[in-house]
Amino acid sequence: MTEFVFYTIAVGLCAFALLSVTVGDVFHSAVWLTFTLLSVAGVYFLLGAPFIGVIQVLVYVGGIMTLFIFAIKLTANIGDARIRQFTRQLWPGAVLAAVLLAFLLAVIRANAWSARALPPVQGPDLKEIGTELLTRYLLPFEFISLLLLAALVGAIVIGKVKK
Amino acid sequence: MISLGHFVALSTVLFCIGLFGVLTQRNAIRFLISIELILNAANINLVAFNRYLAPASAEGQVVSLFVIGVAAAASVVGLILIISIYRQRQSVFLDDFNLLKW
Amino acid sequence: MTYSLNFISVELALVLGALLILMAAVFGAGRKTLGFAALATVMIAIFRLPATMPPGYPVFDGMLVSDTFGYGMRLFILLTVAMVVLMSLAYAWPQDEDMGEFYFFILVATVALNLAACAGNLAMVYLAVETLSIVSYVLAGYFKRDILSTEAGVKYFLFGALSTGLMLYGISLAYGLFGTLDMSFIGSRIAAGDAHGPALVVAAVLILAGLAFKASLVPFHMWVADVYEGAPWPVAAFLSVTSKALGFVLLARIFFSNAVVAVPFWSGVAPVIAILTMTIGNLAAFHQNSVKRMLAFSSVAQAGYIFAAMALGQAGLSTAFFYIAIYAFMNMGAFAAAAFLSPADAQLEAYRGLGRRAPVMAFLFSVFLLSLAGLPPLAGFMAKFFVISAAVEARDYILAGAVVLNSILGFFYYLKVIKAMYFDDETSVRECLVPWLGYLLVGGCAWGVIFLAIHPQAILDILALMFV
Repeated sequence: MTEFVFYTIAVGLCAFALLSVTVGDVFHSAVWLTFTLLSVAGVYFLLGAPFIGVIQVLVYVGGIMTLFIFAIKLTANIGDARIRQFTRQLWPGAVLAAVLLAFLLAVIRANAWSARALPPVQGPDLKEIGTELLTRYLLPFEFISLLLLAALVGAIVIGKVKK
Repeated sequence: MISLGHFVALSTVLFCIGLFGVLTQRNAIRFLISIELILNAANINLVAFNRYLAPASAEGQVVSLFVIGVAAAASVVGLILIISIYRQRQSVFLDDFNLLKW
Repeated sequence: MTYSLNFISVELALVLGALLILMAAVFGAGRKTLGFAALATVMIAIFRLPATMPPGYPVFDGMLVSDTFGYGMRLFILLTVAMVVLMSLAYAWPQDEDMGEFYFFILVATVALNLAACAGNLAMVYLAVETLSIVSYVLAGYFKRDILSTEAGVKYFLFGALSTGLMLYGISLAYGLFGTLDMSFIGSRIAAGDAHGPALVVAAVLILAGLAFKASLVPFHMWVADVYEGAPWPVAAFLSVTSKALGFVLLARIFFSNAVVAVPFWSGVAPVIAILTMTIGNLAAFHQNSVKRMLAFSSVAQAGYIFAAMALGQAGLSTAFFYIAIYAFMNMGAFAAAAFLSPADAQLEAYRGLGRRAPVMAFLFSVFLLSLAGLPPLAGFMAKFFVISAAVEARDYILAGAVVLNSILGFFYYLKVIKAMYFDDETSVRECLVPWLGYLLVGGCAWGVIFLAIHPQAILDILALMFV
């Protein structure tokens, strides 16, 4: 049963990701990216990390994709399917990516990660995430709020239209 | 049995698709989409390794939360920069940005 | 916890200053006020720094490490940021730019730099590097009505987001190999011989990619010229000195805490990268008509010299950081002088005849250019000499020869600028007004360059403490 779910999500994920980088219209790309991100959330649920899955949906799909859609609509006439969307390095790029994929998969085999099965213990749950955020990862937790503020101010500084 | 290798293979495929996108896109927004794929691949790695190899701590999941946050911040700034250049040049195609020579 | 809080009191001061400046800008504070407030914040941080010793205790559960290397680099970062703020105070900004946000970003970047310099956990490294990068994208594109600046911001963003994305994937693989992101733990595991293999190499290469981007090493150097050219002069100075130094700091922390052995190709590939970086940087600098782009490629070449010292292994580290210290003075001075001489037009034609119109500044600019070229008895020569002798001692004669050849090559384009200033006639009659702050900064850098040439002991002593 788990295997069926995994393979469905995995195949869907790869298909959506591939579609998002190959279709002609950039808006369609964004739609496929949305499905990709939802599939990734599915992977998180499968890995026993429901909190991360929910955050993924809320932040990535809900927040970042909204930004993308805004940006695409605000830069309107560039996603036309008639305009060439790929650089001249399309085929070398594809070959390079394929070669790299083969190489990395070989690396995975060599590293015995394929042999690792699910350990019998319970995985980390929400309580542990919370504890970790306020003990060991306290500094990054506080620091990222500075980053978010800086990004916010930065976006306003760049985006503000002066009259 | 779904082993760790399955998940890592999945993330590797996602990474390579993202890399392909990065190498071949003319459109800045699609370049950014490809980068998001790479970030998600890394996140899958983090959560998977956490579950299979180090289930005692929540380190992988916590870090993946930070990555999601950072990705949001980076996308905000990046997209506003892209919109800004579109306003000025009516283009988001990377080959058109040749005022500064590549 | 109190120890940890004491340790980051420096960064807390910077954050407080940043927030106050942001608020002051909302309430209409003037440029000079904001600038001096930023300078005061950095000064307070510097004064707070000595109280964060003694080293050795884990800070925030291993997120940061308290060692002399981090202490030295924090001092370096604060001093160079002070120079950038000073340059920004003296620079001729366009009338309608908001400066409050600018200083806010610089201070946030400083906090990120400090945290990264002391990082003990790969997640902290990633977070700090990304914060620095995101703030830098905004800084590079700060002149939002100038198409060149916006383009610089976009290009920097695209390249930067990609490199940090690659670095993150490498970090995730490292997590998979070691089960933790704690750097000292990973270092000890690698030294013990664990986890060696292709996966470690892949992780190391990816992390190297992200850091090489910041340090502008080949083949991740392509963004430098365009971004420096489009960004405002003080931002270009900041990127070329402070941001670049962070790349090297992290390379030292990640790849020299016993991780060098894990990357078996280090001794083969690193010198190649160094030689390519200096050569490509120098060759590209030749063809530039813009002084700003020329200085950008010159900084790429300088990164090559620094990395050449690092490529020699553990023994070359203090040489590399000696070079970085000297480089900070001469490069900051060069960028500042070039900015003050011609804030609006960076083409070589605009610098013609400035030797007569602005004799002091032009002379100081020449001093920096000659030091960058490596002319004795200036500090730049001493820095290069140390690199060459370290290479010779390590019997890497190819590397030593490459440094020598490239230095000779470099002379030509540095001299091109000096010639234009002194031996060409002016193409446009322009006033060259530099506020006293500008002279203070440039004079200070020149003093550093000349003093350190005669008396490098000051820096060498600090380095000896840093690299126990």
